[in-house]
Amino acid sequence: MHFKIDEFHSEPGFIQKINPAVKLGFIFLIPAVCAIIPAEKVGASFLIALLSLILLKFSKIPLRIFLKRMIPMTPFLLYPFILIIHAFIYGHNLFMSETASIYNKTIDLFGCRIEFMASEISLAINLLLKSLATVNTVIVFTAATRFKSLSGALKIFMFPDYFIMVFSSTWRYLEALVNEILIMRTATEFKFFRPANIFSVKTFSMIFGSIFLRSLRKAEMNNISMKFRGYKTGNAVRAKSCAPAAGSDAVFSLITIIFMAFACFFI
Amino acid sequence: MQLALEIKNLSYAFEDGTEALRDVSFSLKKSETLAVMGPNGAGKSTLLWLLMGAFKGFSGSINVRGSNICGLSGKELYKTINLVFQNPENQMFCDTVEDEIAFAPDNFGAGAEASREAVEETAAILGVSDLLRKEPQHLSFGQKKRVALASVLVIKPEILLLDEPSSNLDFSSKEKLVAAVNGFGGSKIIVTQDIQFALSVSERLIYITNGIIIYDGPFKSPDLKLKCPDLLREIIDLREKISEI
Repeated sequence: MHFKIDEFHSEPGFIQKINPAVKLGFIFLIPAVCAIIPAEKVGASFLIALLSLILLKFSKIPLRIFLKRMIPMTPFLLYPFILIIHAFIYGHNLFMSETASIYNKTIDLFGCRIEFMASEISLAINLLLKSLATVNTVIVFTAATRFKSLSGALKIFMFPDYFIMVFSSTWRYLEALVNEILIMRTATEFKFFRPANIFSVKTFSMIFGSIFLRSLRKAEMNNISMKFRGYKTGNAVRAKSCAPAAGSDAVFSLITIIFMAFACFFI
Repeated sequence: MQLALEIKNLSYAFEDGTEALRDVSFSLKKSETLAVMGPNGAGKSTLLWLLMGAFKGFSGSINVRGSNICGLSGKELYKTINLVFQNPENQMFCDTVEDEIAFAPDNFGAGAEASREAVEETAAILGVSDLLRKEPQHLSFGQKKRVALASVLVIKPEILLLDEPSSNLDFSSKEKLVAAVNGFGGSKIIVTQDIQFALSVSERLIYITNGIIIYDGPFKSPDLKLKCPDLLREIIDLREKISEI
């Protein structure tokens, strides 16, 4: 239920061929644009969300895997979805207007009075589209980029060496954690462990505890290894290289920025 | 001959009171290779970690080139003596093999050019030149072992410590490892359970049981029969199997 950085970097998609620094730029830019779109501009958010889906298509990340892993997003989708259905029942259009029949509609839910305003529904849809656009963009660009070139791109954006080192180490730590989880899961399957009753909770707690302890142990050993090889906190780390941007990167950036500007200013 | 390492009356107990080493004394000459063997839990690996200054609270003295390790700075100590871990995955954390090998020269203050040259030279010795751009996590176990060794050899320490270097290696990987270890000119202490490997890299053996040295001498010695009958039986067994083949 999670996407890993560089998980789909070897897929033959267009996004994979874009310069990592350009991709990193859009990882920051698209969520920033989403954040500044006013609440009433649902159309603009819709276009940015559409853009993120087009990027997903170009990244060749399998749609089935993408949808399956987006399941945790469902609760966020349900709230606006119910409101939209409700609006349709009362003969209202999708983007609402203050003259709509749903305006100031009140529902009595077990004695709790809930008032739906057109602007609230608009806000909910806008929030949904913004979240989708942001999450999609970050997933597409990070999953389709090699981790080491992403850390190289951080260098181009003049992130401090220390930050890059922490970023890399955190990634390695997470990788160690995931490996430990896989090992532990296989071990429990081999021992025919099936969660059957309340006592399984104890076993699960022990498994989770040992996963964290084992990955912590590995991280500590890594730290000792670094120390033995002369590392002291604050030491500069080797600068990662990142290839210069090509013409296609410039064309991609230009088209994307024009599209976003159109969405923000003309819709 | 000048001594590279001298250990006198070294004793160490873990926090729970378990004695790991008791009154251990031995010395190591320059360019000498020493194999340390013994049953599991005998204190072999603890000895290596003590030499690296990782454990405090030991009694006795550890002298490297005549200086007590307690008086040396981390940098001085790690340039003089360094350890290759038993599990290479615990040792590697960089994005590429090249970064992994270059980590030590970069941190010890070698310039970019010197660092690059050292990486290329060490990678060639260990036969990992073609792996430099690869991610360490995606290598085979034998390749990981060689990269881990390269990442320490690049420092060119005077004393190289190896913890179970031949464990889980196939014949070909072991052969490459033997060549790399024998090619290193400095002093070496090799903790191993692999008699065949020990015989191919070392002539001197220290046998430890329950934290006590019960044998310190050459492999070819009548004393070995008296003091380490189990080990001798294992050697004879191995020779018989080889002659059968």
